[in-house]
Amino acid sequence: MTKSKRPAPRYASRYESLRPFLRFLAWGCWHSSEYPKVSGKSERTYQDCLLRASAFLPDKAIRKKSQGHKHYITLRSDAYYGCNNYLVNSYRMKALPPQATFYTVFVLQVLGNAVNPLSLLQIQNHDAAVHGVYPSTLEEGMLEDSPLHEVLKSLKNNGYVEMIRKDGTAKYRLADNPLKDLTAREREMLLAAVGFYKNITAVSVIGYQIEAILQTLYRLPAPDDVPAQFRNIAFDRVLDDEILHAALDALRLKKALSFHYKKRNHDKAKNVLVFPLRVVTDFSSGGRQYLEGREQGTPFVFSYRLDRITDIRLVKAAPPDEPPMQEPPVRFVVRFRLTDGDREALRARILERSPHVSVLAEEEDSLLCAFEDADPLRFLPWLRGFLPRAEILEGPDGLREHIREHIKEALKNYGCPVQ
Amino acid sequence: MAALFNNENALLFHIFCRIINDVRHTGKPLTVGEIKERIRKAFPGRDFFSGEAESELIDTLFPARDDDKKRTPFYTAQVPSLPSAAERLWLKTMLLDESAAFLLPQDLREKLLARLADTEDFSLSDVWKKRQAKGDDPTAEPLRGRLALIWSALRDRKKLRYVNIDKNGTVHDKTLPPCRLEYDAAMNRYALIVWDEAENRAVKINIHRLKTLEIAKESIPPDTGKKFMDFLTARKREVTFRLVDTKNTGAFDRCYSLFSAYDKDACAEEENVYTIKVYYQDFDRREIIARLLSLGAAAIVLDPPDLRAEIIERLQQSWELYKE
Repeated sequence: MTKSKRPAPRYASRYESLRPFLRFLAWGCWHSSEYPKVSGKSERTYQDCLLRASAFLPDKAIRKKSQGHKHYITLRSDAYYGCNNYLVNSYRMKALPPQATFYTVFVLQVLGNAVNPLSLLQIQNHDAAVHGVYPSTLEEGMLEDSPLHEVLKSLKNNGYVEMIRKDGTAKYRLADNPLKDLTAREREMLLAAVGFYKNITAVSVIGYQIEAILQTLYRLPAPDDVPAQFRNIAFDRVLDDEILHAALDALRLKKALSFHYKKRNHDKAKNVLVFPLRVVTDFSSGGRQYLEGREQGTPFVFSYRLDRITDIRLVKAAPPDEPPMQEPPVRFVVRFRLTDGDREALRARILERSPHVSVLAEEEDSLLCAFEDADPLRFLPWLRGFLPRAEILEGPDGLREHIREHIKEALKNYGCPVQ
Repeated sequence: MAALFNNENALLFHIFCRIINDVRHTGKPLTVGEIKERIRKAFPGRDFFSGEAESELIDTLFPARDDDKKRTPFYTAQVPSLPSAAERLWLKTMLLDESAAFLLPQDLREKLLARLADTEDFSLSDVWKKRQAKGDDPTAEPLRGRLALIWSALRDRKKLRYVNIDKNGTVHDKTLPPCRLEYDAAMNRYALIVWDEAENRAVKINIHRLKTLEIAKESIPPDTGKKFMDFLTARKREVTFRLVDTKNTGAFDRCYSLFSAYDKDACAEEENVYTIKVYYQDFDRREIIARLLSLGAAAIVLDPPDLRAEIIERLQQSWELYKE
């Protein structure tokens, strides 16, 4: 037994408390007194999370400023960012229990050097285990059954170790390592490829983990930033990787998902059981991510924001027999003026916005398009961004009025009221 | 389901493995102070490794022997470092993803795929929908080959020779050092950024407009990266706007999502009223204006005056369209 099992206080015992805090900081520069308003958590939680975050946030990532008696802290970001996303480390700051770490390192060393698979007893009887000088932090001067068994089970479940049965005895061997025995050139090319791909794919955290494995395996220095830049990929996207990973696993394994969800920050989270259909990343408006699925007991497909999902887990549940019902699409018509700027690029931007857009008429200086979508309201911010080049001509009740009211109110705010 | 995060891929675990492997490799034991220094250097943050529990971890993995101040691991053998099941699946997904095929030579892809033969095939395209413009198809030629050439030149630090015709019809035949490969996730477009040594500025090239492209013999000058970063810094601008959401319409959420990729800061003026400053490069001005307009009446630009005037002008022109 270890004399102490408590983790260091700077480690996050529960990632769910750190995740909203980091997003809060990443979104802007805030004072701790505002945290309860947006998160429903206490100022004390803010201070605790700040202390934990200081362990992995480099100084250059933090912007501080004071206004009166308030001190504001935010995370720096970069619209042309490279590949070193320091928020990834928020995941990797796990507390390591000394006893389990000792056993894990030893098992990996022994299996890594063994020619044949070994039983639990053979690991215990390994020369180093029998004759080694045990640390004073472990009370027993030998490898005990129970923690050894636990470590082997964990290593097996995570795919590091394989178990085979031989003559009725469970024996263990290290899983094949696809990254071993690569030439220096191959390692360099693979690191660069992973360095790029991790930014454009789902669950980018795993790319950082693969880089760490290569670094440890080949005793390499920290990899350089790859010569690439990524636009419209949010820095804080990685904070949802654990949720995204679970959602993708459920889709891959055809399982349901149980999680806590709140529609608004201040709502009380409710537990839902969802049959997932897909995950969605909306790169066209900031990179927000969603899980689309059918909630148990309803025929409709809903979108759940990943940043509002917590406590997710895969569950076995029989999916409903009937196919899910989709909201019927709504048509709306927009005239775009193509009078200035790069006409060709502008035209492409419009036609590539949605898979359900058709050109009704095209003249030298304008483009008349019909869109069909179940949720036309989600196009409003995009259409406002085109002003004054976009005019809604036809659509469901209130769509054109919505933009009209926004223009009117905005002009009033700028001191240019209109009637 | 294999866990995404476990003890074996924790940063601290990797660091301990590296220290053990280094001791094995060099044959030189380390003092506790040296071990702590190695750990401190490996962590980006401050005051990380100072608690009692951490010292207990060092004492467990590097047990004290007699009065010797130098420590060696309990067992001085190589600690193997290998991917978990989740990491193998991710790696295979990358290798099978044709849109990323330009990142690796075919023989290395095949070699790694053969080693991952027992790992399940998984395609993200079936389950991950990306809302973005149709944009580029990096699986199709000629883009795939051009991306492979650009990536190879960047990796091997070689200049690129190219001929392209810009949107005004001007032909450019140049040999220049590439700075970066750009991917725009919203437009789903790849672009090549080169450093124009004669004009001392970065140039973004639409890869579709390239007529020819080849890797030149000349190497990229070592100061190119710094020049590019200085260029970005010199072109940095800022816009300050007030964000008002007294009706709780979710404008804050939308604003922060919209500008999440940008460097910014904010402070509260009063309940539901914030002043936000966003930093951008001047060549992204059009995009910044579109984003501000997309926030509707919730965003009021305060500074700079010329950007504020442009927003007002565009709103007034829009009113002419919508007033009826």
